[in-house]
Parts: sequence; structure tokens; C-alpha cells
Amino acid sequence: MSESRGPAPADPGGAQAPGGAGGQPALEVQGLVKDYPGGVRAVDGVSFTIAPGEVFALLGPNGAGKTTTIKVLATLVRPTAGTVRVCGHDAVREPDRVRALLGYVPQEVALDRHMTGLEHLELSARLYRVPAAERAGRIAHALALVSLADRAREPIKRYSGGMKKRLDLACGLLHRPRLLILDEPTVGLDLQTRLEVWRFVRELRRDGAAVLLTTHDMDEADELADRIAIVDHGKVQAQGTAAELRAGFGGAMVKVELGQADLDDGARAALAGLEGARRCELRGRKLLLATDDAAALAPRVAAALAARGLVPRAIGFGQPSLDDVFLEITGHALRDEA
Amino acid sequence: MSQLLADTWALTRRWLVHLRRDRMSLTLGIIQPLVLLTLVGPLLHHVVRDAEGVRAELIARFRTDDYLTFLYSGIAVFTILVNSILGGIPVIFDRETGFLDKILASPASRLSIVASRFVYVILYSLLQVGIVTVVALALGVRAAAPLEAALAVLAFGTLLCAGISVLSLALAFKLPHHSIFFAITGFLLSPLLVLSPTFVAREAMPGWMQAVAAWNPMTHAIEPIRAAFLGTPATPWTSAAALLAFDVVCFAFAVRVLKRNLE
Repeated sequence: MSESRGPAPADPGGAQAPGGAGGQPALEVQGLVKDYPGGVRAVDGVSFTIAPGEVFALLGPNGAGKTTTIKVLATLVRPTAGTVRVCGHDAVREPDRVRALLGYVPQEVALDRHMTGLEHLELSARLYRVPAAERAGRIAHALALVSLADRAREPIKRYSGGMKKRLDLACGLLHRPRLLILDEPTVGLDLQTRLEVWRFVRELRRDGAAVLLTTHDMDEADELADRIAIVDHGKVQAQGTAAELRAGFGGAMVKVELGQADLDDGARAALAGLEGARRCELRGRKLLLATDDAAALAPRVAAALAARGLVPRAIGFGQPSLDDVFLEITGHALRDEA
Repeated sequence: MSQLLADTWALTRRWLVHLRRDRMSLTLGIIQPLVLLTLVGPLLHHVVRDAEGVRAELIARFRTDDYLTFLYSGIAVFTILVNSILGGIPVIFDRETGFLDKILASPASRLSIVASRFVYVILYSLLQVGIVTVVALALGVRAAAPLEAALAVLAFGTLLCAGISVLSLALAFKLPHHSIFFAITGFLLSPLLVLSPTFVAREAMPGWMQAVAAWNPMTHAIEPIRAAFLGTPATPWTSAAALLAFDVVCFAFAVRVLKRNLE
């Protein structure tokens, strides 16, 4: 697909992984479409590629098509059109090969409350055909990685929410997947567990696994991902590194916070035409101006407002946040729908 | 094939863990058939033994005056029926919690999900029926041909379990929610029990009930088992053919449903 509206700077086609030349991509998704009965198109021509060892984030609000995309990749849902290849294997034609190469950790923690942590790992190891001789060693390694070794023999109904999430993650990597799929890995977790999940993802990358995660959290994408695809209405609206996405926004921005009485079209009109301001958008009580040179624009903004007798509460300038980029690309704030 | 066996074993181990941990369900599951046997049995036995005038009549209709032995085969089959019909429940909960998706995302054979439940239901039913049998023998139930009787329980129990449990699993994949599953299975159990020869021989039923009971798979499991216990004439091959036909229909339905849900 080439639906990329807005910035996709390094790569307008939007489907090539950086540095992927020569090596086979861990994941190649091309023109993925999924229609549900009743004419609902959940995924509408999504394409992206993940290189081995790369952490890739699908960023978008709930209902953007992220989870459906992931379910197709995990071979749980058949695509209506398009192709998915994991390490060169087609997900529809060779589902068993693909399943063996993937680790899948769904959004909701799905564990069996009757079983212990150890029994869960044992079951996962068997279902993923880890050779009997290697099972114990891999399980011990996974338990150490998620810091559950001393609680492994307890039934999981005694685990805290964070422990369950960590066990679920451990189950997904026993067979050393080439691509680990994490659907909203930190939704509903406390801060400490969230940081542990982040540490876990970084350690996986160090081990050379590719990771695909979905999130509607800008910070998470910014913090963890090598590259980000912004997904909305079933389409990839832009993709690239966080820096590339910010650069596509215009490099820098000036934010003007105004009192309620000043929020009329007059203030907006005064600023929209300013030299050096490429766009002027109202968000809440703030006017956002995209520019290449924020330091030069800010004084002009103050002067233009003063000329109309308007006194801003604050004027700031600097790098745009990913929130700003998301708003720019999709026309709505991520958290409004999340 | 060896992969299928390994996957089936991996998943069956999980159901055995449930059995070990869930003591309450295990205990109640074992007591339930004993309640029927120890309450209904002596009650009707008492009626049959003491009413000399009707005894000959009952022998004519039940082919025995040993009502407890008569009842035993019905209770044993009902026990298997209940286990089989409820066999899909863990799968429907796995569907709702997302655990099933995790299994489906693994390379494990699709068939092993169904096979592991089937293996487990058979093992669990045999355990239950074994305990019911020990209690029944202690209460005075006797088999005319013990070896044949044991074989009949095994063979016809398995044939009934196969069709019903596969049907239950198919429903577990097809129905949108567990409450609907419970409503349907709960609704079915009573008529299946009453419209079978569990309490009353088929010949003693009203004509229309006899006609309905002929289509009840329980009938074709109870009658050959009962004949082996009572030493009365029977048509085991006809019963086996009827159950096999039932199994084929259930499997065909299940394959259609599972193909759609487990591709």
C-alpha cells in the first residue's frame, strides 16, 4: 500500500526496513485487508516490514485495526487480501511453519487459574515442540528473565496482576521465536510492572529477536520502538523512526496557551499568516504552530498577539511530541479515542 | 501422527491437573451418580420386592425383580452422558479468556484440542463409573456375565461418549457465550434421562415415548449393558450400529463447525 498521508520521510513507500538489505525480514506484511461480515473493514491495506532484531510499534487508538492486524499475523484470523510472511513463510499457506516462528502474547492475560507457573511453561514448551532435553533449561531461563523463579510452583491464582503478565510473556518466548508479538503489553499494568515489561522487551532485542508491539501509548512507542507505524481507520498513516516522524511534522513547533476569552478566530487569524509558521491549529486552549525555526517564530508570535491586545498565558517552543505528530497526521488526538 | 499424540498428551495433562486441583468438582461429580443409585434404587426396589401382586407383572415388564441391577446400567450410562455433554465447557471458557487463542497460535495440532477433551472425558467417566460400580456391587448388584458386562460398559460407554462429547465440543466452538451453552445442555439433560430406559424398560413406556426413546442414543447404550448384567436376550450389534450411526452424524457436524473455527 502507499496510503501514507503525511510524513514517512526516510521511505515514502513505507514498507522497507532500514538495514534490511540482504537479510531476510522477520516479518513482511503487504496490502493486508480484513473485512468482517456486515461490511466492516477492520484493516484496510496495511503494509510494513520488520527486520531481525528490530522493535516495531503499531501505534493507534482502540479500534484502529491493530489487534485485527496482529490476529492475522498470529494465524488466528484469515486475511481477506494481502500477504503476511514470517521469515519468508506465508502465514496462510504454511501456518504451522509460521506458528513455530512466532511468539504471541495477547492483550488480555490468558492463564489457567488451576495451574502453577511452572505447569504453564511446561505446557507452552510442549505445544511449541521444545525438545524434551532442553525444556527444563529453557524454562529456568525464562523464569529468571521475568523474575518468577521462586514463585514458579505456586498456582497462578495466588499471583498478582503483574506476575501473571510476566508469566504470560515468559510463555511466549520459550521456543525462542524469531518474532515476538505483544498486543498492548502494558495496558492496565501498574508503573513498576510496566517498566519491567519495557526492560523485558529491551533484553529480547539484545538477544536478537524481532518484536512487534501494539500500543496506544506514545511514550511506550517512543521509549521502546526502533520504528513506529501510526495506524488509524485500518490504515498505516505514516511510519518511520520517532525522529523521522517528528521531522515530518516540521521539525519544531511553537505552543501558545491563551485565556478562554482570547480563544476566538481573531487570535488564530493573527498567527496563521505569520512568516515562518506553516500551520496553525487549535487544540484545547492551545494554538500549535509548526515551523522550521521555533526560536525565531516565538518572538514574532508574542508581538503579533500584543498588536491585537492579547496576552498569552504562556508561549513555549521546541520539539513536537509524538502526540503532536499523531494529531497532525490523523486529525484527532490519540487519547480522545483511546 | 506422533506429533498429534504428543500434543494430545500435553493438553490432556492440563485436564488431569484440573482434576487433581479441583477437588470440589471431583467429589461432587463422583457423589452425584451415587445419589441416584442409592436413593432411587432402594426406593423402587422396595416397591418391587414388597408388592407380591405386581412382582410378576414387573418381571414381565422389566425382565427382572432385581431393580437395583436394572437401574445400575441406566445410572452408569447417564454418568457418561453427563460428562460427555459437559465435556466442551473448559473449551468454551478457554475461548472466552483467550487461552484458546494462545493454543491456536502455537503449532499444536488442531485435532489435539478436541482429542484431549475426548481422552479426558473417557478417563474421567471410567473413573466415575468404576466407583459407581464398586458401590453398586456393595449394594448387591450382580452381573449375570461379569466379563461381558464389563466389556459392554467399556464399549457402549465409549461409543456414546464419542458422539456426545464431540457434539459438545462443536457447540463450545459455535455458541457465542457459555450461558447459552449451559442453557442448552441443562435443557437437554432431563428429557434425555426420562426418555431413556434408565428408570423404566422401553417396553413399559407409552407408545409415543417408546418411539422417541428409540432415537435417544442413551437407549442404545443402556440396553446392551443391562442385558449383560441381567442375562436377558439382547441385540448388541443393532445397538452398536445405532450408536455408530449417531457418532458419524456428530462427527460430520463437528468437522464442519471446527473447520470453520479452527482453520
